[in-house]
Amino acid sequence: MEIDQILNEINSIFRKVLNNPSINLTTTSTAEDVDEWDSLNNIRLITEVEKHFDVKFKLREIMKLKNVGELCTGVQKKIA
Amino acid sequence: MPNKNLLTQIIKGIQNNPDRNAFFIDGEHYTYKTLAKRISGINNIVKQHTGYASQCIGILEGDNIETYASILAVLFSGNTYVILNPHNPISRNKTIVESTDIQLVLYSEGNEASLDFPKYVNSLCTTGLESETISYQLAPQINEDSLAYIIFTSGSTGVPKGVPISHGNLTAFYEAYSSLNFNLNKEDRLLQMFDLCFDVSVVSTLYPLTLGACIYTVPQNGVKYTHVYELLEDEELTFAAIAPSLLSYLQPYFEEINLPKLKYLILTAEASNWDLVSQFIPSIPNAELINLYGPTEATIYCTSYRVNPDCVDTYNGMLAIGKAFQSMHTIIVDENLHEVPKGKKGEMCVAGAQLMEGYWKDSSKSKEVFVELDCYGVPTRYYKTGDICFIDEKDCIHYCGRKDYQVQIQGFRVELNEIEHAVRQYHSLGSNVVLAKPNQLGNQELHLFVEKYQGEQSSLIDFLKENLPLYMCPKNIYDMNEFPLNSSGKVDRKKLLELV
Repeated sequence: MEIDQILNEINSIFRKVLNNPSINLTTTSTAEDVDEWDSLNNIRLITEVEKHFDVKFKLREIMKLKNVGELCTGVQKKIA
Repeated sequence: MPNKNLLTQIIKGIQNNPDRNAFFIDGEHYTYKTLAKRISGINNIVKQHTGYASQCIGILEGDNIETYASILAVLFSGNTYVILNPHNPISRNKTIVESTDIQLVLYSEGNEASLDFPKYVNSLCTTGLESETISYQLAPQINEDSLAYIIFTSGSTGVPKGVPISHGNLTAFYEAYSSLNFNLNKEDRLLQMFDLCFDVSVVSTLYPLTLGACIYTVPQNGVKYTHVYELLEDEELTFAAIAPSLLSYLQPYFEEINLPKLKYLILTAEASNWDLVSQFIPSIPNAELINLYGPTEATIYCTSYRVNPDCVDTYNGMLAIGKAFQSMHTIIVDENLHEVPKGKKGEMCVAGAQLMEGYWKDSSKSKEVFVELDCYGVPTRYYKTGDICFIDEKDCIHYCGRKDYQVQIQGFRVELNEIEHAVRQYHSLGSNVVLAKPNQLGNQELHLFVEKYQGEQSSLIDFLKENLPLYMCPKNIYDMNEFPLNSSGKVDRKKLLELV
């Protein structure tokens, strides 16, 4: 799957989980850029992303994700 | 001041360990010598502004060395520090600045956007401030009664309550905390994960400096639990005080976590679910677990419970909070303020040298929370904690829950009334109720129920975000034509909660 498509689908997950239809993620977005993106929501976001793409992340992998782009690449590698 | 004064011990820690690391912040180490230079630089400027008269000084917090050096500089200069959180609504910070007569706010680069204060307030950027001449002098005017800091907590009238803690309170706390006899020294690495507006940050920051040890800090916004895990594992931390909710975030990954270097895990800020904590024990094979409890009004912690995994004291699955600190006395009373027998529940009251004098400029609120009770035949001033507790046969105190509508959200004590008050400023046509309910992870979440609200939910949420800290903004909003009532004609909160 292309990164753009993954980003698009992750964006919809963020909008739904964070209950904010105005979220527009880019590959460089980080938790600093999105108000609601805290620890609790990160758990929800990761869980939803894992369910949606049928993948599983290790804690160490989640820790290393520095922005949305790395989350997309992470998903891409796992579903390849 | 007694010999074991906390500030004197910190100065010793700084003097004896110039080349050791004091802080690890955002990937960078800072030695005690660097810290001392920063403190002296800020101290010089503070003195120019304040002279020898003590006053409240605002510190706009950030995860950087300037913020921590500012706290120490204000303490050493005999002034009182008041933390302002740049992520709080500007109106909240303004209220705090005005009520404490703050005339000087210290900030670091990157925080300028939050500097919206009255014109008479001087703002001073501390980034890069340092002095080659290091002064280890404490201001002569510091005495037991002078205030070290004021922490603002949620207040039911919509105005935050100021809790002033004196140097005498802090010294009593330090002596009691030291007598817990942690086996720690300058080689240890300790976690500081708490927001500086929350008082556990005070001990997480100041205590390691008395040892000459290194403090590892965590940024306050964004995703905290991954940062904490990264520090615990990569930096091999030996001491960590955490809120149990952090463990609930990490729970799905417990099998991956291995922290053999951790010597102590302190559980604090919330009730600790033993089932969750016990699942974490295989990840921390060499750590002792200690549950610490205390209201801000009684200086950080005032009871402790050391966990023996083979014989754990719990109530409703929650770890006991143990016994009172050496400087404190606890008593559990019924509604008529009579001591209840062992095993009976009542409100816990605490007395002793760690207890604040009273809320900042709020004598009526202070009158509500203080009560005179008999302590071994001596009439003594007690603080009513609002916590329902009981003492078991082994003289161990158990926490059962809050008496009023206060809840703990991410470690912060929140009065639900304060949120309802904020909602009424926006929508006064119908009433509103805010309730807290634990989610699947066991963490409290806020739900707002509004009556007769026709507007967009998003505009109400935006209004609340402008007026309340983010942790106080409800997760969900439910519009209703009218609220269900119970048999006594009051809003049926139980029925409302069932809708969640």
